[in-house]
Amino acid sequence: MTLQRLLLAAGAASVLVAFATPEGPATPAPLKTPDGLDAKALYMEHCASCHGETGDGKGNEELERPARSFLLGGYSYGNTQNAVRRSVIHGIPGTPMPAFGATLGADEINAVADYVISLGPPGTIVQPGESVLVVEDRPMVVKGMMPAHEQGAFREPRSLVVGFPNGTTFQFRAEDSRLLTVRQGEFLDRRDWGGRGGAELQPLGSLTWKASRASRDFTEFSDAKTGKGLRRKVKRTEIKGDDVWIHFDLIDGAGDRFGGGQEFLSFLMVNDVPVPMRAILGSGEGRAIALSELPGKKSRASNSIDVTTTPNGLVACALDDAPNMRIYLHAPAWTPSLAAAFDASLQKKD
Amino acid sequence: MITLAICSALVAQDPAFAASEADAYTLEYLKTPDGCVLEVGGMDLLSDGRLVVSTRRGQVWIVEDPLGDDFENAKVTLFHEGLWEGLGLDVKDDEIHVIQRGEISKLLDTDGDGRCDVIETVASDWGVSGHYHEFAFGLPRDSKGNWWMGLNVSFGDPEWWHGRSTVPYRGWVLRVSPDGTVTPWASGVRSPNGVAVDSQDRVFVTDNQGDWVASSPIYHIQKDGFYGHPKSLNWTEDYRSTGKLAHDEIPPARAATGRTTPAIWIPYQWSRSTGNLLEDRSGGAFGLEDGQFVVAELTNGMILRAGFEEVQGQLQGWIAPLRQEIGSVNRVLQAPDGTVFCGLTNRGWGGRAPADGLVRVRRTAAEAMDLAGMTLLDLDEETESFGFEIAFTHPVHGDWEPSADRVKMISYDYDYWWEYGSPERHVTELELSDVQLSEDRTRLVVRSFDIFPATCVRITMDGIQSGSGAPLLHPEVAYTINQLPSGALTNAYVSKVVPPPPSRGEADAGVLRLSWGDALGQFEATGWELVDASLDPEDKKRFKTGVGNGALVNAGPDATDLVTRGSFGDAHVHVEFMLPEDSASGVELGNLGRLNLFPDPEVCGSFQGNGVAVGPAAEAFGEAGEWYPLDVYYRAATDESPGFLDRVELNGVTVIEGLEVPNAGKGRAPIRFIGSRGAVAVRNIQVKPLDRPADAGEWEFLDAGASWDDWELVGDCNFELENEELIGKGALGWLWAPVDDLGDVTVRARVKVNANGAGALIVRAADGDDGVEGYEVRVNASFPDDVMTGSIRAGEVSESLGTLLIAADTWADLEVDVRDGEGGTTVTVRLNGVLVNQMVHAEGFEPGGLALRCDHDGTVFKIQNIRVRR
Repeated sequence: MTLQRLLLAAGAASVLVAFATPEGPATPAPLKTPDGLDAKALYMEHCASCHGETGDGKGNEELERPARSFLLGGYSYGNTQNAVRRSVIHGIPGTPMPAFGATLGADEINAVADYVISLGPPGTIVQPGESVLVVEDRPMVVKGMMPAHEQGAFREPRSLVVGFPNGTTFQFRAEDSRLLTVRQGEFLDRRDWGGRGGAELQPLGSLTWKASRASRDFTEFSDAKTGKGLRRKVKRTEIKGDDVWIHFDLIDGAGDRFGGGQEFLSFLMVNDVPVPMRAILGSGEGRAIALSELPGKKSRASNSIDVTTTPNGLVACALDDAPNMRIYLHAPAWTPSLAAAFDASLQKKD
Repeated sequence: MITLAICSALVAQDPAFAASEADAYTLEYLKTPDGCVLEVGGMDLLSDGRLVVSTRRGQVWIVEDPLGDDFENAKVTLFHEGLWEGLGLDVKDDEIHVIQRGEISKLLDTDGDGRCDVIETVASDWGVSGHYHEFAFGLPRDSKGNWWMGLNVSFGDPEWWHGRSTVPYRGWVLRVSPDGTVTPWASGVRSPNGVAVDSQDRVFVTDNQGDWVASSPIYHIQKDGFYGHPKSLNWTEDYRSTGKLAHDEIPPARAATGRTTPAIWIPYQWSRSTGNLLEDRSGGAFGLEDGQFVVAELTNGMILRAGFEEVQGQLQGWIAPLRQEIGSVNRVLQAPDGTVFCGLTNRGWGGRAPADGLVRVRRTAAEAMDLAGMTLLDLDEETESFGFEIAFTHPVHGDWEPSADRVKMISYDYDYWWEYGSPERHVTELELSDVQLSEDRTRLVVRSFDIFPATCVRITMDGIQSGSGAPLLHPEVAYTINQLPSGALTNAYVSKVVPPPPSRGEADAGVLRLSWGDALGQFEATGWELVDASLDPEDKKRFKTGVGNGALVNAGPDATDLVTRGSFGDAHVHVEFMLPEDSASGVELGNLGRLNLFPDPEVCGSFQGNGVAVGPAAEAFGEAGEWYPLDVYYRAATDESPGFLDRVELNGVTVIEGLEVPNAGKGRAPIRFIGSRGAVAVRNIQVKPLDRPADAGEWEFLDAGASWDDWELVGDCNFELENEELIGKGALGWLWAPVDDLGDVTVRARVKVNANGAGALIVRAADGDDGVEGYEVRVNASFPDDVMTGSIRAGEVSESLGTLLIAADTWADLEVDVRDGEGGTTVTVRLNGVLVNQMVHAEGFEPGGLALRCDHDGTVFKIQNIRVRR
């Protein structure tokens, strides 16, 4: 599933045309070595340039931030077999670690992961506990109570938490569809059935983004006539292929339904690194709604896209042809590579 | 003996008759695959016969061919995981609906891969505060397509099991229309674990024993009915329009005449945690007459059978065990062929093993000598008494003749009060006016002059057998008499309003609970541990300790005394203690002297200090290894008065009274529990200061009544002024008091907060990036974030208290002293006059204002008598 479905729903077909670009370079065919896999050779070929031949993190490649040393056995997003495999397949957002899911076969990924683990001390790898929810081959949608995500905030009884196979976790408040955190790593520990029950879900990933106080109170849509904010209340979630859709009702101040819409959660691959992307489309269903102003630096990215770079690490895009849609990219700035990936995503067919 | 032998022989010769429940009902246990733990919360059948099961763990499993030959090995697959519990499930048009804590959801598999892809929220218009006890139960559907569900109350203080209803509609039964519209239908339920709709669209709900619920009842739910738990009334129009909140301990006005009585009270001996119930519609395939009910029971691990009848417009009926020794049965579901599936879970509370799983219960081909039904008989003119007719499945053996020796009937009722459950009250064995069998020997009539409405009766029949000698499987049955078949209607209840027990909430006023929560946080000590302790049977001179939080024990090497962090003047000290043999301990009462605690009745409770020594006036100590309560009331010496030991009560016996200690040192001092002279275990340490803190200096009272217009509200909370009391209600927000330039200052106020609510008093308050900043002193009795009353926060720096010093809904005197010094600003917090927390803030805030904060939704934060001394 791509943005296209949402764009079509938004009646933004001309954006698609405007962004029609020639096909990009073909993805290299996966390297197939089904028999007699040489894990070390694979490591040397794909990993050693950054992580070093011995896994000490001292490769030849010059990087913005140093690559991880495997010798001590601590991995970015959890010491489980799955976590290491996931980093190889999907890359690590916000770091130079690219995704190898498209270039290596499953056997090769397993072999590389095992080799990486073997570089660390024995006992590095742990099994997930009985109560740990593990995202396997497709996104997982979980409801429950999340703890306060920062000092001074409150626990969130009605949380909607979406985990992706690449280790990204989005935490929403179901009552207003507000995104509170994005995390990277293992998914959730669900202990609310232990003992008498009622414990909070424990997020296992590392926080990579959290809503500011201002954005927690922010309402995406408003009644165009009165200017009053409309709350987005989650009414449906849908796992569709690799993506997740969240359908919502738009609720006015009196608690009545005003309209509805959809939010689509996915990733843009920017230089093989996944960037979380959320596209939100609302409809007043006959009544006019408007997108609320976002704080941040505004610019015109092309002749049909406005971009706002917010203070809390979001790039928000609004398309001329889709006035009731906003697309958030979890990236600090609108860069040419981000723009290219965004452009490609708009064109991508289902 | 001879008769018994003959009977056994007869049964042995007649294999078609059941000699036990096990002969009448088979149990087959599903073997679950690795990783599948079926803590069953809901069940229903798909049209193709597959069984769908939702669990406490938030999963939905599908069992293939559950009626097939090999149930134990039936295939089980995971359809979905990630729900917030699933304590009720309904399959409607082959679509799976599950009730989670926060919503009713429709789960769809849109791509046909056997896994749920789409979750639709069908209804969610009720509150969830996050308390663990806020279960949501369901999910039967009536003939019009409405779902029925029940919402638990949460818990709070003063007793942990006191019900709460801090968000709508806790303690209610709700109707949910097919379009998701939620209608609050009936109130007053506590833990309505079982919800059922029968073939006449009657809604039945089971409840669980607890506060205001004497034993486990089955309610017949009626629109606007009130079933007795007061907290739910908070969400009635009457209460909402007036801002009234239901009291913890005083029965509501509706208790006397406005309750809807349960149709059946299940005796505690049979049900301690009731699950759901179902109407048997299998035409006798399960051994019950159509229209009788099967009731699930967790703790005792069985299913029961029940029958209802309408008597003078009131539903009531009978109940008896049906098949025992199954496991923690939480849910029952009947298949069209009569098979009953029992879903097990003990909900983490303990119950009969196994605690999880799925059991297929089927009636065997064997005949069973069993109860067939029971009805309440009208007044008999000849004997002038009411009575019961009990029907059996087969004629009673010709040798058995009814008599008062063989048929016993007791009557009883219950107390309606805030205590947890009620014993059976007024238990009376009824004199029988008549007891006889019908001509065909299938019906027993029992009558008594003493059958009254608003009581329950239990009838026990001894020695009944079938003609072939098979025993009556269930010789005991209970009946709830709400109304008699004729005569004036009664407005009395089986559970009767009684004077409430002494209020524990009042007793808590002014008390500092030093060992609650973080048990050592308010003490200076080494070598003390929080453990479970009991006398070591191998060596009675020591304790055996294990993981737990039952006692503070000086188990470590070189244990010191356990010394309170704060100092006390006049006080009432309560402690419970346990001693091993040959040990020695005691309590140093500030500067007054020591009360000796030895495992010796002649010495335990003696006092010595400052030249005074007295033995106990009575022997109150019993044995080593037992717990004993100690209550000491004493006064510290002052310039004006010598010290006094007013009273010492040991195990409820006054052992010292009115003892003057002339040479006692003056002033306040810590209390010291002696731990250096031998093993001792203590628990539940509470100190109630009985003196007033010094009032010197010029105090400026902030009279909100006079200056209300100058108080400023910010954020999402609301503060009201009522009888000179400020009442803040969540969510997050602040109330600015009309004072500023508070530099070196002492602020005092009386504060109280409800269970799970939280607030703060902020001194040197100023607008910050994230709301109002300053020296925040938390007021939080039970909200589980370990930042309890008395905790201090200054921006990023904090000094949190984990001790639950102040109970919820209990007034406390809070004093916050802020003073600049060389090392920074010192913030000192006193509760009820006792220093409980202190922090030095190196940066120091500039002088500022005073604000009150409400922390979150559901908070009720009350403040009185605010005053400042600059």
